Amino acid sequence: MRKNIKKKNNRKETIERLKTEFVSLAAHQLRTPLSAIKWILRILLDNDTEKLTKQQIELLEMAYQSNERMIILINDLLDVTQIEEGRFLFKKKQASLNKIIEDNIAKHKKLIKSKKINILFQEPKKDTPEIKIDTEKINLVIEHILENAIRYTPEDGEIIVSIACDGKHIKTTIKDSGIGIPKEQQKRVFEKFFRADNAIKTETEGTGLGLFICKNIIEAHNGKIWFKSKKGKGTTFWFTLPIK
Amino acid sequence: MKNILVVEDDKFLRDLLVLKLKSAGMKVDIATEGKEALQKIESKPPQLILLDLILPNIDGFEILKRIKKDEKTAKIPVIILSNLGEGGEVEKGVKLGAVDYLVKAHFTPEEIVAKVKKVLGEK
Repeated sequence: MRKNIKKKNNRKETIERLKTEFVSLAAHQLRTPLSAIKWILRILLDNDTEKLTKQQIELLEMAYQSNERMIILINDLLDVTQIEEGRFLFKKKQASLNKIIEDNIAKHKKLIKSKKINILFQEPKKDTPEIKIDTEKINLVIEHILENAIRYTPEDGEIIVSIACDGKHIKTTIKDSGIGIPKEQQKRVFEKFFRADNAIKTETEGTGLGLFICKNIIEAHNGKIWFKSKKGKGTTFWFTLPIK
Repeated sequence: MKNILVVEDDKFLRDLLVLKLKSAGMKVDIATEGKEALQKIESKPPQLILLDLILPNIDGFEILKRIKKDEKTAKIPVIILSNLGEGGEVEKGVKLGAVDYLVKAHFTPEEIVAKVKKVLGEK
């Protein structure tokens, strides 16, 4: 009986490994033509626009954005697969959360500016200690939450990012003045592929995977992630990371 | 004029990189698989190598190992350009001596050329 269980587990592991390898290979194979399309469209849009009509430029931009959506979806799917296989690498090292947040905000400056959103990063009065984190993954968390805030906040809105330290944990807050999450849908927010109705209505891109990925990353760091939201008023996300 | 070697087996991606690098004023040579890449690096060392990882014959990591082992070519900066992007691979590339690791789908040709210029400028 024990032998059978061991056999079953080995077989299960093999299937999981093959599934992971398949997903990784598929992701790589898909990225190749997507890269080509991305590069071609970028070259056309950056160089030859005097020869194109306004409508042609608009169409090319749409193609570029759609292509970017596919690339993002593959990234998210890869992350989700790795999470589920327990293969999400966590390489922790001492890092400054302040810097990760600052760099992330800087990275989205163009988009924030184009939407005329006012963004404020409130750093605490005392220096925040460095903590041992997987910087790439925590960066991903901030990116997902910040991108949601930007995506779902209308023009002239406001986003406030702040950090607080209580000696045991560092708490990050990202507050927006966006469309909010309807109360009856709030319990599903961390589910894979879930997007609230009002989010879908905005016709913006969103894979519905971001928060699932964030929750996994934060909890793998022994932190907590939660939110408060009111439809039409805005959403505030918090996550804590232990200082240990 | 700076001489760049592009090692990439996908024709479209290869042509696009050559186009962009040439229009940025650089001299570009290409290799479409591992053996050819090593041969060209050995006989005519470039000033920088853009290296794909999944290649016929010898894969990018193996090429990188051999370049760094050979005194004659060890100092040539190598930027890995790959669509594999999991943490493990990036770390491996950096450990083996790559100066940067870029996921092709995440960068525009202009950004790649800017990185190349930066690396060359720093020398």
